[in-house]
Order: sequence, then C-alpha cells, then structure tokens
Amino acid sequence: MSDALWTLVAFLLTLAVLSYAIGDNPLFRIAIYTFVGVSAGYLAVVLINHILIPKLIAPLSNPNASWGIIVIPWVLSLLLLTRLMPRLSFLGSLPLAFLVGVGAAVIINGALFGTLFGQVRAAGLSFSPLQQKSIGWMGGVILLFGTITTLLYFQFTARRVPGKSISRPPWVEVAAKIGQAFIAITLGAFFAGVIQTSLTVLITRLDFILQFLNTLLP
Amino acid sequence: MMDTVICPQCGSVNPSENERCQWCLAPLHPDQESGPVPSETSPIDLPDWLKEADVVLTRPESTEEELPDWLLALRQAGESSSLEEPIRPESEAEGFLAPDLEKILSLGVEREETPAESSSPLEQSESEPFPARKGQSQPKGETTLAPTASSEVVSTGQPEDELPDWLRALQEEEEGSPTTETPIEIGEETTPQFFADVPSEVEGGPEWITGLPSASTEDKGFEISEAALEVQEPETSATNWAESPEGEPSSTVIPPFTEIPEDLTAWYEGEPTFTPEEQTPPPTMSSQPTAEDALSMALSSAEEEGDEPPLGIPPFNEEEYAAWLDQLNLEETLTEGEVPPTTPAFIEEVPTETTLIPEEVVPPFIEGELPQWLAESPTDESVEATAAPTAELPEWLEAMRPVEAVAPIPAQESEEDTRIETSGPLAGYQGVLPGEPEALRYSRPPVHAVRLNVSEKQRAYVALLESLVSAESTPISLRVQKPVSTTSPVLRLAVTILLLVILLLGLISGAPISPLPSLFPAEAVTFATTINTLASTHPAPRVLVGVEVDAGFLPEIRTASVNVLVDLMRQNARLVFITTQSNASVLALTLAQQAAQQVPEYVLSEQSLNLGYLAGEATGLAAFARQPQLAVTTTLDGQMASNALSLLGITGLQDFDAILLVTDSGERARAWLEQVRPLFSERPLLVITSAQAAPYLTPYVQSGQVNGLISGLVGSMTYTRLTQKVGGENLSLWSAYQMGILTIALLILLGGLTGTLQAIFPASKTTSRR
Amino acid sequence: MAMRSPIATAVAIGVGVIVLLGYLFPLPFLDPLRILFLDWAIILAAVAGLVAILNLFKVHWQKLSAPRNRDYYSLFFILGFIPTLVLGLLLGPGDARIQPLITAIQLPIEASLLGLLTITFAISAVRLMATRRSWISGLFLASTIIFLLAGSGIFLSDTAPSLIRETLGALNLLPGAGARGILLGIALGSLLTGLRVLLGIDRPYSE
Repeated sequence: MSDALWTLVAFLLTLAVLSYAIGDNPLFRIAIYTFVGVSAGYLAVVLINHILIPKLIAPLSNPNASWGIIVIPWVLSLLLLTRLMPRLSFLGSLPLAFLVGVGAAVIINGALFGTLFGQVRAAGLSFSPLQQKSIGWMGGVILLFGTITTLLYFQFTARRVPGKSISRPPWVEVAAKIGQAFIAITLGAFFAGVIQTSLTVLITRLDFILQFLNTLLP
Repeated sequence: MMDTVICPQCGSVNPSENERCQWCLAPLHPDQESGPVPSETSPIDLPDWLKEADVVLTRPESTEEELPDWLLALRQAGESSSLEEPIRPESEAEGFLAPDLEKILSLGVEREETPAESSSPLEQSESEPFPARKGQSQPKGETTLAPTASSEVVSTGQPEDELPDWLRALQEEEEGSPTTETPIEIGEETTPQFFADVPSEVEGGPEWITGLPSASTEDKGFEISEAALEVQEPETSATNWAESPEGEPSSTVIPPFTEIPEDLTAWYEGEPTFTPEEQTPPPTMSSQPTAEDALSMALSSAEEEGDEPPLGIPPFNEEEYAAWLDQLNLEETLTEGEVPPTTPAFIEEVPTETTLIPEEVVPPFIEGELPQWLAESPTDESVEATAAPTAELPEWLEAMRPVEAVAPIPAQESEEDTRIETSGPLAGYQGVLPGEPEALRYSRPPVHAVRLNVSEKQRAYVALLESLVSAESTPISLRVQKPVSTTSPVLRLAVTILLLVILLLGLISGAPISPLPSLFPAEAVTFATTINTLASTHPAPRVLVGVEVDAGFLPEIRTASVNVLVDLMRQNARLVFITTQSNASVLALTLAQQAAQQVPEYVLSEQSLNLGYLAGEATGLAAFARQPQLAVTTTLDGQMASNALSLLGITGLQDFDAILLVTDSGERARAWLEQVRPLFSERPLLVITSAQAAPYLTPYVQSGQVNGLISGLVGSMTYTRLTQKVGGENLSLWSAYQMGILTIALLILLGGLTGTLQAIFPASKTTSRR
Repeated sequence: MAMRSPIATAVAIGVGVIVLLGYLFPLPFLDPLRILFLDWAIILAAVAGLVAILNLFKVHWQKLSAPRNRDYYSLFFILGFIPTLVLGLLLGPGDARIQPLITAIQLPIEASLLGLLTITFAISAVRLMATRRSWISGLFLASTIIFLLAGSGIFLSDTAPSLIRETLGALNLLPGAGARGILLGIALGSLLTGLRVLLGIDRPYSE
C-alpha cells in the first residue's frame, strides 16, 4: 500500500514537473519547492548522522580521545557557525581559511598527479608501439595536434605593443583558430551526450507514466 | 654766495669749511679721510645697468670718439658758445626751472670747467660711481654736482644775457609777477628750510601756474569751459604733467633734506624772481607738477606743432635751439589763461608723510622709450582725479604716484621700508623708495631643461603605461548582443508534441530502427571483461563502488549498474559503497537491492557495506584514499566503519581488487581519478557513466587511467550484449531512444539549414516580410 | 595593499603547505598531520553544509513570515524540510522508510526536470543558426548531429556501411583531442588557483 502511495506521489510530481512544458504553473513550483525542502532536510540528516555525530560529538564521550585534537575542530566549527550572524561573521573566515588551504593543497596534488602527469604522458604514449593498435600513428598526431591547439586557444595573454591593438602572434592566432574548431567539435560531442542523457531520462519518465497508467487499468 | 659743498653721502649742501656733513655727518672731503668713500660701495649692490655705466665712466681715457653723437653735438655746441667763464647759476633755484634742460645744457659745459672749481671733492674722483649713477654722463660741474638736484646749476648753460628770448621773457614775467607763494604746509617739520620760509600769506597761485594750465590746454586743443576750468584748475596746475601728451613723470631729483643755506635764503629773499615754480615740487613728488614739467610740456607741445618728433632729445646746438624755441610762443602760453590765485586744496591737504618720502626717480627711459603703460597711466589717473572730490585727494594723490600705480607690489613695501639705502645721496636712510624701477629687479628665471634624457625603451614603456592608463578610462564599447528572442510557443509546443509522440510510439512499439549493437567500443569490451574476470584475481573480489549519481540521472544508468552489480554478486564480490552525494547512498542501496534480488545467494547485509556519505568531496576522497577508516566513521546503518571494513578484510585502498565508479558527472569522476586513482594505480578502475560525461572521460580512457567504461543507454545495451544477458535488453526503451535521437538530429539539421539559408538569402527574407 | 585577515591568511597558507608537503614528501611526521588536517576539513565541510542549510531555511522562513509579498511557496519548502529532517534524525538516513523520500520525491522530480531539458535543448539547437550565425555554430551543430547519430547505436551493427563506421570512428578522435586540451586547461587552472591561495594572492575566505 505504501509503495502504491509513493508511486502515486511520484506520478503526480512527474506530471507536475512535466507540466512546465506548457508553461510555468503553481504545480511545477510546488513540486520544485518540495524537492528542495526534502533534499535540504535529507542532507542535514546525513551531515548530522554521518559527520557531526561520529566526528564531533562521539569523541567527547571517548575517554581515550585527545582533547587537543577534539577542541580544535570544535572551535573551528563554532567559529564557522558565526557565519549565520552578520556581526560575528568575520570570525568565520578562520575555519574557511583552513578549509580553503586544505582544499588548495588537495587540488594542486590532484591536478598535478591525477590529470597533468597522466594526460601529458598519454599524449606521448600515442606514438608508442603499445598504443599504435588502438588509435594508430595518425590518431596520435591528431590527438596531440588537437590538444596543443586547444590549449593555445586558452592562451589569452598577449604582448601589448604601444599604438597597436593587443593581439597574439600570427601563428598562435592560426593555431587558436584550429583549437577553436576542436573545441567546437568537442562541445558538440558533449551536447550530443547531454541530449542523449536527457532523452533517456525523459523516456524513462514516459515509461514510468505508461506503467503507472497500466496499473490503473484493470 | 658762500662756497658750498654738497655732501656726497646725502647730497645736502654744506658750507665748504665743514669737514663733515651737518646732516649725515659724512666726511665732505673723502680724500682727506681715511675711511672709505661712501660711493664706493660694494659693487654687488649695484644693478647691472649701473655697473655698466660705472665701467664706462671710470674709463679715464674716454675720448670724444667714444662719446655718442648727441653728446658730441652738445659738446660742440657748448664749445661754440664761447663761454669764457664758468657757468654759474644765478641761483640754485634756477636749477629747478628745467632740470632736463639743465642737464642737457650742462653736458656742453662740463668740459669747460675751470680748474679752480675742480676743487670740489666730488669732481676729484672722476671714477666715482656716484655721479655716474645719476646721469651716466654726468658732467664735472663746478658745484657740480648735481647728482641730486644740483640746485645751483644754471640750466641754460649760458650767461644770463645770452639767455634765449623765451627764457628771458619768462624771467621777466616772473620778476614782474607778484611773488605769490603757494602756502605750502606740507612737511613743515622736514621740509627744507626754504620751503618753510615761503610766505604763507601769499594768496593765489604764481603766474607760472596761471599760465601753465591755459598753455597746456590750449596746446592740446582741449576745449574746457571756464566753469570746468575753475573746478579743475587747482588740479590741473598740479597734474599738468600728467596731462602732457607724453605723460612723462618728472625726472627731477631733489635731495629730500637739502638745507638751503642761509645765503641761499637770503638770495631767495632778495630775489623776487624766485617763484614757486622753482621750488614747488616737493621732494617726494616727482609726479608733482614742477616748473620743468610745465616747460617740458610746453616744449613738447611746441614740438608737436612743429612736426618735430615729440620724444627724444634733439642734438643740441644754439642755432637749432633758438630756432625751435622761436617757434614757441611761450609768452603767450604762459600768460594766457587766468588761474584763480587760490591755493589748490590738495596742496594744503597733502599728508606730511607723503611729502616727506624722498623719491629718487631715475628715469630709466628717455621719453621716446617710455613704455605704453607708463605713458598712459598718469593721464588716466588725472582724468579720474578730476572727477574725484577734493576730500578724496589723498587717495588719488596716492594713486597718482607712478611707481605705486604701475607697480602694485604692496607686499614689498614693508621690505622697502626697512631697507637702508646703501649708496647714493640717500645712503644711510631708511624707507627710501627704490631708485631703480621694479622691472629692473626682475631677474630672468633660470631656464631648466625640459627635455628628459630617456631611451627608446623607456619611451616605449611610457607609451605602454599611457596606453594602459588611457585604456582604463576609455569605455569599452561592448558588443551589443541581439536580444535573445524567446522561443515561439508554437515552435516549442510543436517540438514537444512531436517528440513526445515519437517517444511514445517507440515505447509502445518496442521496435528498434536498427539491429541491436554487434560492434562494441574497446573500453566497453574491457569493462565487461574486467568485471567478469575479477573472480580470477580473488575468490571474493573486494570492489569499491563509488556512486556519484544524482537521483535524476539514475534511470539512465540504472540498467547498466544493476547488471554490473549482478555480475559482481555472482562472483561473490565484497561490495563497499561510498558516495560524496548526500542522497546517493540511498540510491546505491537501491541499486544493490535490485541487483541482489537477481542473485538470491548473495547476502547483501553481510557481503556488502554501505559507507554512506563522505563529506568534503575531493578533500573527503583524498582522506578516504589515504586512510578509509579515518575518513568514514560510520556506515549508512550506523555501524562503526572500521569494524565493518575489518570484517571484509579491508584496511586500506590497496585491499580493493577493483574500483567501480558509477557517475553522471565528469567532474566527480575527475575527482576520483585525481584523488583516488594515483593511490590505486595497480588495479582496475571501471566507470559506468551517463552519456553526457563520456566525452569528458574519454582522455582518461585513452591515458589508461580508466580501464573500462560504459556510458548511457548505449553502454547499457552494449554491456548486456557483451555479457549475453538474455532478456536484459529493454527493447521498448531502446527503440524510443533511437527514434528520439534521430528526431532530434533531424530537427537540428532542419533548423541549421533554415538558419543557413536565411543567412545566405537575407533579401528574400526581408522581401517576404514586406 | 592592505593585508586583510592576516591570521586567516597565515592559517590557509600554513595548513595548505603542510598538506601539500605531506603529499609530496610522505615523511613520518607530515603524513599524520596531513590526515588530521584532512579529517578536520571533512568536519568543517560538513559544518559549512549545515550552515548553508540553516541559512536556506532562514531565508524561506523569512519569506513566509514577511508582512508583505509573502512567498507562500516557501511553505512547501518547510513542509518538505522539517518532516524529512525529523524523520531522518529519528530513523536514520538509511532506514527503509526514509528511502521513498529519495526514490519517490527526489528522483521523479529531478528526472522530470532533466527530461524537460530535452525539449529545451532540441529547440535551442534548432534555433541556433537563426540566432547566432557563425562557422563555429555550424561546426558545433554538425558535431552534435554526428555524435548524436554515433550515440544512437544505429551504426553499431554489422549491417551499417563500413565507410560510415570508420568515419565515425575516426571522428571520435576529435572530441578526445579537444577534451584532453580542456582537461589540461582545467588542471592548469586548478593548479594556479591552488598556488595563488597558498601564496596568499587569492583569499576567498576573507570578507
């Protein structure tokens, strides 16, 4: 019974949202506001249950826990809560700085060892005999050329010559144009993937509607 | 007349027997004194023009050839005048008649001095700069001297009997005229004695005064009514110098405190010809009308009549002198016009202090060189003065002072007042007006180089900086974007209906357009192969399943995910779920439950572990990759994570045999690949992703960081086909998908072609609109 | 340039450098410190998320209790938030009775919103050449059409012409090259951003 009820709720919410295809309407807004409220509530539950209770509150009852290690996250957390109070919000900059500092180091490490080294190495591996089977020598050249020209397109620094407009060197301009073409093709592929995903989800919603309607039919 | 000696310091006349000046106590005979000659002041104090003049005059070898032409002419005239005796003025007061004339004439006789008269102390020092400062060509006169007012010099330079007719007539008229002395009250305390002795009871102006206004007015052609003349007469008599065409201020130099010796007083008393015109000008008032002013004015006006150059000093000889003097009807000019014998009020009301300021006017210009402002300003002021009431006389009198009128430097007055004159006849006195024009003090400001010594590189930098600064202030014209036209409701509705109809047809029909896939991408093959061979590495492979999916994207990858989990469960895999999305832990649980339903022997609660939510995204993943037990404290169902992991035989990331990442976002997949993959490089990392994230992850597949990948509905179909799951294909979904994709591609193609045609043929569009 | 929040800047730089050194040089005394800092960062991230949720709730509460122009739709936010929070705290996030909040509310709404985007994307692509005519737009649309066809699975069978299959396979390299360039650009940008934070040039934490 409860499953049928939740299925009905899902059906109604689906219709409410899809009604936006006709135009904005209260049903659509109700569905969206409800969705945001439920998501926020569940996130709060998860944060409290999964993080705050086991990492902040539980150590208080642990006699073996080091108080120095416990106090610091408490202080930082309380300082972060001051962000809710405009007069004391400046105190929240300290835990945010801690968060940003750690995040910066994590991002540097990840970008360096996760993407830069791996992708640069992969660009060279395209010409190795081991990779020739997959994409071939020409494929390696195309990949390398497309990668370089795409990067050159994002080079927006140029030397300013007095009395002349800011412009990149001619060869960079040509390479950037080619890189722009590569980017257009890549974004086209991305867009095609987005359409495929959304279309698949839309089909699944239509399928759900059809199945729900089938259940209503005797 | 007793012998007098003029003090070289103050210019006062002293009895010759005096050793020191009775006024300033300066030695009257510098030669006899051991002290320095006052005139030998430091040359530093001398202005440039005086230094030059000094140099000229100190040349004893100065010859006639070096003299200017006009001076030679004067000299020749003096020589040809056959003067055999030194010219001695009849009185000192005669020197007041026409000091200019006197100077001019004295030039001619300076060389004919008698040796006896050269005993004057001043004449002994020919190189003495003092007289040179006064006249630059100062003659060595007998009494000489005239550096200051030279009261005893006869201006004509001729014996009295040889006086020209006009001068003689003038004298005769003066003699005949009543000695109506103007009761000058000014400066009684400091006025020279002979001024004080002027009988005050005399009423009416002297005859020269009565004659001057009429002469001046007539000569100038002024048509002034008698009534107006009566009003203006007192002023006119005083300001006729200003009304002269040249507006030339008097160049008379009068020692301020020159005492008239007793014999001079006697002379005055005995000389009925001594008229106020000879002593009228107060010492300070060089602008005051004086006799020489009147005379010079008359002369100048006469020169105008005779088409003579009005300015400048003509070369002087007797014939010419007489000739142009004959043209003057001086007697008529002096006698015409009746001036009421009333003392001008302004003379009575002139403040004492104003009259006592000794003014030493050194004419820096000859008449012809007078600047415009100097030539015009007195006239203007005189006009203003005529309109001013008598009670305001002190003001205009102050305004009439040429120096003040043209040099408005009140700030320097205090400085001048405290300054002590260091040279000249006024040396030692304080508050003496500067003898030099203010303009002469002006020193040209130093000229500094304004051109910077910069290199071309520095110029380039400057230009660059300028361009940067200007670019900051220059508004950049933004490209005006075309207003985004809202989609036509008809088009939107039509596309919506078309798409829904086609999708429903596909769902209902369940007939795909094309055969099911039989060609598979390499990464999909690798994916399927890896999943299904995990059991070869470990009898119960431990797989870390990262579910980074939003709820809305789950339907796309649900089929593929469930199928993969089923295969893993069939291999008795130990599944550990973790996510950085708050609601994904429930989605992971849902997927596991659906998969477990297909594998009844698999005990989900025992063989799998849902670690739930990992906060901090990349940071949390980094912590988890380093030490999973510390990063995740509890499981989704509230158990201690460390204990649960230990039960699965997992203490670290390296204990997992594979990582399966289910995601719909390329960014989240990248976070896994950046934070987790470097610490998990030896084992396979497989990805189930939505179609939208597949292009993003393609480079990682090519780089080998992702060992296998299936994406979207196509990936699901591919995996199903690869693993040969009978009945696993959802044909209705697949057919709707293909039909929908083709429809959208066709719509985009049509839209692109329409837009291209509109771009190629814009005219037809406008024509059709018309 | 005035130094704002010097203590916060010092904290950010110091903590970031320690963590980064822990990555680069896994020394015995650096690694525990790095893990400790990462653990604290997880706690702070959770607290920051909670602060954001509380702020969101406050905003909707104020909109609902505003004397004028009340947003009555905020009532549905409250109605969705409070029961979920209460039930979640009571039952736990993994309870089976909580799961329908995700599967029956979140999933249908999110999926339907995503489905709506299909129509929007299609219409936008149709009108692209009418609104922005350029060779880039043409290339973008051509790429979209090609990869739509490639992703449809129509040419994944043996019956498809080999020329088309090979052509699509060759064209599939092009987005890979562009995507690698984009990834490298993103990585370089992330690297520079992190370095700017560690050098104190960027201080997003200061007000």
